[in-house]
Amino acid sequence: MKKSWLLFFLPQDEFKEKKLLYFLAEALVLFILFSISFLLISRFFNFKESSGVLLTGIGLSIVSIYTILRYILSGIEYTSVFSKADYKSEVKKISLQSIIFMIIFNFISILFKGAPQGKENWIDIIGLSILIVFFLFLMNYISLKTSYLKNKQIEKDAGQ
Amino acid sequence: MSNNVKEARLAKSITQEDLAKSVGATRQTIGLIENGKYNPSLHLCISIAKRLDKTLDDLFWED
Repeated sequence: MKKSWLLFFLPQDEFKEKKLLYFLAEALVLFILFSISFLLISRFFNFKESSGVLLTGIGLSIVSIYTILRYILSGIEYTSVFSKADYKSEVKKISLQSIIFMIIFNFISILFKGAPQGKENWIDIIGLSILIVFFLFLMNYISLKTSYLKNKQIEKDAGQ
Repeated sequence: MSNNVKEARLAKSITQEDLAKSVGATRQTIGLIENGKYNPSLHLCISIAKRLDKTLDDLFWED
């Protein structure tokens, strides 16, 4: 019997669920090691009060970046992409999603900040959205590629 | 762990995708189970056995 509020955030598939729990647990261990290292170092150096916020930020970044990277590189996101046609269709989907995200992001930016005045402000908003969308697309693409390769390997192993 | 899931599934003419949907798993997970690369929980084993009209012994017992 599984009883944890964390299950609400985890996928239904048990293999994916188990993998994600491993990634989160590994990230937590890294976070604990980082915290212990900081505590030991802080005995010898006098940190400014504001460095606490910075170190909390670093700790949270370690947990989130590690978990996301492990997830992307594990190839467990696109579990049904087995054929070249599926793969190409998903590439189109993630490209479209990225473009839609960029439009919504720019729309919300203009809605809250107002229409940019001058060329530089336009470049600021569009440049930022292009950068975010580029990383978003890259993350999805790497995840798709690793998933596709993993699925192909499963098919290859089944044929042997 | 080797098993007879693939043979039982093919005998019933069920695709990996269909089996995955009916037991609440993904096609990737079913592929890994069939290849003996992932040991499923007892809960999932029972779901697969029921879907394929087999016993746990038929699917997972090694002679």
